[in-house]
Amino acid sequence: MQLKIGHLYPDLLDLYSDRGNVIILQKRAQWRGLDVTVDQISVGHEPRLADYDILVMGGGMDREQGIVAKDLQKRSANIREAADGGTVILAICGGYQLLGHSFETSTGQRIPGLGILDIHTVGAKMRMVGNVVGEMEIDGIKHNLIGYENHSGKTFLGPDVQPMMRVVKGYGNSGEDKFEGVRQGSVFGTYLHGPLLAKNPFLADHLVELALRRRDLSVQLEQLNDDLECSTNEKLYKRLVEAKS
Amino acid sequence: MSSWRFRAAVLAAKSIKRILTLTGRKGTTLPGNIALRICPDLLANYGNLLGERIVFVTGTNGKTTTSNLLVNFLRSDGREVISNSLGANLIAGIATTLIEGVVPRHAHQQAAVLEVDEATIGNVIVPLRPKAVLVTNFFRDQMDRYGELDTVVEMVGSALQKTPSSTTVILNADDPLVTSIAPDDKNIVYFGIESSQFDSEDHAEVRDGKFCRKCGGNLHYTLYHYGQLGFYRCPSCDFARPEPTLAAEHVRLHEEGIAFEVGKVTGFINSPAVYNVYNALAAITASTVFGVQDEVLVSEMSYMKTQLGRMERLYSGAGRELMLTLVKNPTGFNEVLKVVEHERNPVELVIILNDRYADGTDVSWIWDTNIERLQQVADLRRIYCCGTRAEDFAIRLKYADLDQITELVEGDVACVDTALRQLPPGHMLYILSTYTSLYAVRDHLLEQGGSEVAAQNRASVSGSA
Repeated sequence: MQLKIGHLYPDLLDLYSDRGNVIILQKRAQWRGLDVTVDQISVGHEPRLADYDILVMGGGMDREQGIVAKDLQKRSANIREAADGGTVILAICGGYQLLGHSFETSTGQRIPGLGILDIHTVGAKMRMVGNVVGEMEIDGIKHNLIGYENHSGKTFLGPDVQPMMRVVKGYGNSGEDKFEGVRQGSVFGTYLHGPLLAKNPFLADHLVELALRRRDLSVQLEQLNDDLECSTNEKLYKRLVEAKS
Repeated sequence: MSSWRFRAAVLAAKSIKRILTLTGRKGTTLPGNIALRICPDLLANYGNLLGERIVFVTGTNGKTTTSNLLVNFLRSDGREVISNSLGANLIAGIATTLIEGVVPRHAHQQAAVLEVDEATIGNVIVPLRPKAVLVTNFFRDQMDRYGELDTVVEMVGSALQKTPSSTTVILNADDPLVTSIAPDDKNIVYFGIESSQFDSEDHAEVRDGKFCRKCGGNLHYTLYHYGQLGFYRCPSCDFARPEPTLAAEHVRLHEEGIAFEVGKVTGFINSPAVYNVYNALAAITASTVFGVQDEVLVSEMSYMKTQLGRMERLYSGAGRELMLTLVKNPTGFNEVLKVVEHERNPVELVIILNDRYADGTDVSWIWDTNIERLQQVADLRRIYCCGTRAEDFAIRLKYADLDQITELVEGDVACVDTALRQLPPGHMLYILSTYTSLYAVRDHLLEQGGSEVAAQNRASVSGSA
């Protein structure tokens, strides 16, 4: 079976090592015998995005994000078609903000986003930096997610999105409501680096399954040996949550 | 400014230092902090005392190595030099260094080489009025502290705008991020590499500074040294690599280190990492600004030793050869990987990954390293991981298909000992460590009877000069 991954703006949104998520998705699919292709998609390259099973987008510096914000407007219909068709989209940090309605800088400038996620972001003075522990439910099972956040934007949720996780430790979307990340259909957005999927293999598999079920509802990924990832996740959970309380 | 305040501040700081030392603490920042509180313009006093004999070293990588090379050059030239060699490079650490080192009565004979943090330089440049400010390079590093790289570049750039007109600004010509902040109407001296065995036409490494900071255009390169360092120019404006005033040519591996030519002089540095050539060039350039005698410089250049734990060759107590080096960001790490690939002997690795404040609390940078390259290294038998985030590195290795040779060991020192014990004959051990374990591991190796590698190459290279 094929898995087509598109890495959006790998040259521009390459801050914080989020390309790790692409490596992880690719490897985990390959280890299960899937035929994986990874395309790098950036300015000047406009393939039909609905042809992809998974699209991944990281965060970048302000300058680079400005370039991407402009370029994304040209792809608005293209991305919407992909999202509506069930392509799994994973957007981190700056990428997450750009998929929302807008980003308002601390100086009051309003940069329009794609509006694929019902969120808007407001720049703040204080940076929210540090390890994050979140609790996320997937198919009725609760998982502890470990990641790292580093953002000054505060993201507020509209009625069409669901929070991705409850924050156990850290700031999360806005530092105000104890939620982190969102999901709207097959589109996921979050501030978490680490990279996100490194210590949360259950989430990586969930995304791959969602993507494959678009074509075949009966898909069930076989279990991999994730002892290392899981024990690391548990160890950090203990260190970050239990030691402090 | 009343001088009694200055004297009171110095006295208080020295008393505190004495108490701290008695209680077995290093006291590299507290005395300075107290003194700055008593006498807010403490630094201006030192600026006056030291006249124009201060040099600042700043930038992402190479601050410590460059500072220490420069200190050696100046001392060999017969000068009394103060430096914050313990790396206390924030304002309180700088104040403490000056309080301890400056002797007011013969301050006119003293010079100070100060490693200055990128976020601190703006606060100390005006009161201290340095004779020279040296900027090594900019790479993404420790974003948990200052946010993105642009912010750091801006901070240093605005500090350079404030330099007094008597200051010489020494910049790395090959780094477009550094040259982009060249201040207007100041004395600027550039250093760079003209030709090198390590050059490549591969741009995959350029992650920072891909875009012209003047106009936003995509920089064009004709040659890459490493990272974004190379021969660049902007196709849409006049921004381009400036011609270096001091240039290294024919940079090449030689014996256990790297040799290069500056004009007719051959330089040798006892470390096989190309980034140390830049550190050497930076220190040589600053020496010329300070008027170090030519014969002293030529003699010093014939054998330069890198700083403790910066690609430092050591022997274990049992006589095993090893290399100890600091890693803290992807660019530096990738350069170390290249050295491992070029190593003649089969290699084993110890990787110590910590996430304490001084290491940077975000370890995700390891995913930006080209660790996959190790798949190509023949005879690589084992990679040991330890440190507070050892498992994070093990996961990184797993996704680079290197899990078969990965071993997790609890405890830094125990891990190094295990690796040495199991090291097959003829193999060499590379120890890559983040900051907070580097010196502990080095001390441990020396306590176990290990030794530094002596300056055995001096004769062979200077003979060819």
